[in-house]
Amino acid sequence: MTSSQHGARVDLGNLTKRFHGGEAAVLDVNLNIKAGCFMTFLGPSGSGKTTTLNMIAGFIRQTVGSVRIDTRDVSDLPPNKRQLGMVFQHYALFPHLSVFENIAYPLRRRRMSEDQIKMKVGDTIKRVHLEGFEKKHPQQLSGGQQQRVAVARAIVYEPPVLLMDEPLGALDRKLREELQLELSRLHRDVGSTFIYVTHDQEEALALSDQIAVFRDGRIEQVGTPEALYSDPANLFVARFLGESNIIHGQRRSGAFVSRHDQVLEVQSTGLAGETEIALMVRPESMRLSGKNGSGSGNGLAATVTDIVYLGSSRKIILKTLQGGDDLIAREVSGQYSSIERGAEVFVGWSPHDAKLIRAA
Amino acid sequence: MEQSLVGAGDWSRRRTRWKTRLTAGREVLALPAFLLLLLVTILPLGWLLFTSLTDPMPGFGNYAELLSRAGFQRAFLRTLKMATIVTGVTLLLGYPYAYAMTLAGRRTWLLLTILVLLPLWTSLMARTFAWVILLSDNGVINNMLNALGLERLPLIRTELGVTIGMTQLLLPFMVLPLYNSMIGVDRRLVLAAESLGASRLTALRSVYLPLTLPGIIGGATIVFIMSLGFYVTPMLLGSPREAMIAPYIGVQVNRLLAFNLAGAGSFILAFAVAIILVLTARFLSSGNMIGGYGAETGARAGQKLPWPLRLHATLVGLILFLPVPVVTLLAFTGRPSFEFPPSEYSLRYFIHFFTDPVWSASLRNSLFIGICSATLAAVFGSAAAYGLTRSTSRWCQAAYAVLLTPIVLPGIVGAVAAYVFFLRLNLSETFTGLILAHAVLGLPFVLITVSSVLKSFDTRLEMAASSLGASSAETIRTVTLPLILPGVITGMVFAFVTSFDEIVYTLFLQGPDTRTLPVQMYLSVTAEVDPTIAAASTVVVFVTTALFCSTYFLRRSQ
Repeated sequence: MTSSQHGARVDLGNLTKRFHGGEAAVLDVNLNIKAGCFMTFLGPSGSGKTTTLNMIAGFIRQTVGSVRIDTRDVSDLPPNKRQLGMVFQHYALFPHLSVFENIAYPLRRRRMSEDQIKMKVGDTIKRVHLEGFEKKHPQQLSGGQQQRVAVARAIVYEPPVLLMDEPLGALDRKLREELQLELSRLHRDVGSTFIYVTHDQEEALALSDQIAVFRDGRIEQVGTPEALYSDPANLFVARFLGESNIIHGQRRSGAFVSRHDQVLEVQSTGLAGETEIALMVRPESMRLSGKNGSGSGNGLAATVTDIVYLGSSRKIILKTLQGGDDLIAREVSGQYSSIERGAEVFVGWSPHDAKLIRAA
Repeated sequence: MEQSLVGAGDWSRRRTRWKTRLTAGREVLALPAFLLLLLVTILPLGWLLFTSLTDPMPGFGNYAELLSRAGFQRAFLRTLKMATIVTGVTLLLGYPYAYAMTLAGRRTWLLLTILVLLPLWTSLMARTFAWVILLSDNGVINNMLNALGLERLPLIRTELGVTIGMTQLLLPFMVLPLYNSMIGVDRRLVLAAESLGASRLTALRSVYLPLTLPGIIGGATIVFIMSLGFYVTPMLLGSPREAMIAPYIGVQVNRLLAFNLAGAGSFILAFAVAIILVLTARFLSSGNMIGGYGAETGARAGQKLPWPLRLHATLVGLILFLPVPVVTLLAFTGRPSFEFPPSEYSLRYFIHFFTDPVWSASLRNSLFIGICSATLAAVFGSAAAYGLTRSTSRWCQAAYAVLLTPIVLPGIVGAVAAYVFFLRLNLSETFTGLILAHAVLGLPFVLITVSSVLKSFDTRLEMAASSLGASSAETIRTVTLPLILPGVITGMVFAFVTSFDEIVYTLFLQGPDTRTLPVQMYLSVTAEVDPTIAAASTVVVFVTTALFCSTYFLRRSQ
């Protein structure tokens, strides 16, 4: 089932929203979303990601700036003239209409013939695996089924852009992972541009082609999940996406010197002029060895304070002897099974895995 | 930077215009309801006030004259005294009853609730008529006293009789606010007080009673202001020599055509009501004011009632229910008298009710006026509810309150004002006049039921419709309207029942060709013609009960 349609590009120019003239909820957001891209707005609550989505949809009127869809300026259009699809948080399914009628709703608004409606709704129902539920009402469905109806209703008229506001937020973890897979399959299948809002970084990493990280109404960084994870632009992004070990310090003649005067080797260049910088190492890059092992390399002496069992892996929490924030190492394949709580170890990493980031 | 600042200024101006256009479109929906209220209530009140202050001379002459009349003073003080007694007695009867409602198990609770709600919706005229039968010199109570070897009591046409009748008629208005406040009280607080060493009674008095104070004040306010404005019941159960204030005002209009004095009297009464409302406004909720809308919710303890409470609830329940068997039994009498219990039974008065030209014409008029006014109230009220709920302007709060005034305005005041005003517009004695007046009385019910649905309405559904391509009009037609329809229908049924039972406005505004069923019943009680009125009452009681039950099931099916 391939679709003939193509996604549209979406361009946000200087998009700003002030509510009642107060502080900006969204400030000067510039973003170009390529046609067919799966773009995720990621950020904590109150960071402006939903407000931005609502401005794209037309539910909230921007204070300044523009929204363009395929170069057409839609900033002045009401939602029903923007030709977008939207999947709402908690789905917003019409309780008085059956599953079939919910999905047929946008087609009826477009004055399609009964035959066309039957065909399109039938196709879409198959696509989201809801065969047999046509006559049911939303309140008779499970959360996952309701979510599928919401998606079906938003894609049935093949909108070039599909907006999703935390569509999996109300579901339990297992179902969420299952539906994530379905959504990315659907994205490939449908070909529309997806703009997806979430505060769940794992979801963002799993689904997106591109992620825009929001904070306090601004975009902190835009990039592919890999780029954001391995090369965060600042501390906020580093902490928000995945777990990270942060060591604050300064650059001094090619090396990195932590606040506690630990000299650490780094490879990356840049940030030479910055005074407030930090070294970031992901937990899976941390290597533990015995206290007197290869303790001469790049790393720190530490004590194991806690070991957290996570099923597929273990998280080892370390306190460095010289002070500073706790460090985390991740054990994936049982290589540290001999290490116990209280053990004194040497924690090291390859300079290649250590990133210098702005800490201001 | 500069450029973007200029742009921002330009934008905000455009935005303001855009926003104004958007919200103005919504608030305008309240306009028809306001025009209706203006025509039936606001302008007539203004005109009546003007008359009372200018005729025959400008100034407060009419007020001074009325207040110096011994008859008016007596009527006013008597009304205050009786209102106080009725409020006190309903509180004493109602508090334990409401408490029993919060404790009872599902089935007992349902029974107790029905006993409170039914009288509210079963014709004031039918219930007042039942009290005529019960209280009359050869009535049920006196016959019972006689059978017990006690002396007969003069009840009808005495203050005592009026007080008894009013107490029973107003009891539901006390019980419902009490119950609503009681179900909001966390019962564990009483248990906590007991665990801290208080006895059950001390715990109730020191913890429960203060927490239910809003309900007590709310109920007392409603009962008190309704007692102040009671018109028909004192006319039928009381004596003209011991007039209450509402009948006193009525006489000024009907017999003496002294509109100026009637105006002065009306505004003195309205002023008294306004003072009470201002003092107690924060304890009142619109749900309580319209009688039990939403009363069937809330958590209950589900216990077996202790026997004193059980006994009390049974007695109060009997008092509440009493009128129904009295009128029903009398309706099947075979003899042309109000003798009770009847010595022979037949269907002749039912047949007479449906075949007699006068009675059947009044039934037809009532149905016609009821359907027209309820439809008008449903359309205007729903539009106003939508416009006012969806707007964020704080004026809308005030506008909403203004549209609810017909509930708290004493019937006699509104009726006299509408009568005097409609006379000048040639609307009195016409169907148009009656339909407009009844529609205004029905508006608050629609407004409250529809607003409550709209408040629980997920506005994201409208956003969803809009994102799926629906225009504003299509959104309203395909999403909003179907979802608020149960509220609209419930409000419309309430409005119909209100119109079907309305007597005060109707007595003033009706004419020979527009006589409604309650008016015909009223005239027939005063003339004591024959027991057809009992058959009429029975029919009314069962029709309104059926309608009321239908709204209950409608709300439950949601």
